Amino acid sequence: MKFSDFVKTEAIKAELAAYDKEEVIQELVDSLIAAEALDDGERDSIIKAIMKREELGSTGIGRGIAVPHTKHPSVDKLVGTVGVSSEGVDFNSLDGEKVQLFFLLISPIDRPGDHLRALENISRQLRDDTFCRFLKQAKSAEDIQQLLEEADNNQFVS
Amino acid sequence: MVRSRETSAPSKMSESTASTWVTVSNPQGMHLRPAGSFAQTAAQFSSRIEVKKDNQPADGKSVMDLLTLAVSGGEKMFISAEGPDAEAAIEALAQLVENGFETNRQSETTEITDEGS
Repeated sequence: MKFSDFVKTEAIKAELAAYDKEEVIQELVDSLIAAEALDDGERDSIIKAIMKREELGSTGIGRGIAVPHTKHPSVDKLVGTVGVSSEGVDFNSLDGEKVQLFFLLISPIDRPGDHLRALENISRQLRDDTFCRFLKQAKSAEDIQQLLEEADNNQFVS
Repeated sequence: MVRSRETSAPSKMSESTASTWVTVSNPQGMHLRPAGSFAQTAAQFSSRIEVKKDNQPADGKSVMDLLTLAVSGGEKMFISAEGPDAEAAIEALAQLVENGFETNRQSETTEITDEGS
């Protein structure tokens, strides 16, 4: 799976305004709603489900990266977006570090395989230090989009 | 986070290796929480732990590395350990995987019964 298979380009946020966990999630969900990738009427239900998942254990996987996610009946295919915080947000990560890179994922109820392949893609690409650093330093949504495209074309890792 | 190839050089006398095949039993596969449980359990041992699927290797103590294997429910993976507590590590990790990655009983069922999902 590639980033272009699940990242809604119009919803990418280069400079997140939020400074805590719930606000980041709200900001990214709102951005997906504005990009018409999520239904406005499901906003609170989706945010609540993502926060509930965080209670089971933070999705902050270390290296300043988090993958907040949930399954939700209102989507019929995997949809996600990317957000970057230059200051970093306290996300109760596994390594205790603040999170700068967010990959928010909403999956249909019955597609565990797609979720697994999105996680595979994100972790494989972000193991590359250069790609990770470039994303954290990105100043615009266009920069991020271009970096994701380069990653999809295997310009960072094979 | 630097993945070091060096082991912490324990005395040769106590070095040992152990390995096993396991089948991922939970239908969702090794997604984020299972990978986290695996890495946390692996970190309790001083042995170096490697997990392989289709000959692709991953550091058993790194969540990100484990996620790159994308192990689906029903698929097999090979776990190997090298170090003073290799056998105990393999025993604990095999049991964890066989129990559907449950370190405590509540987690997977909470997600399934979650009203939002």
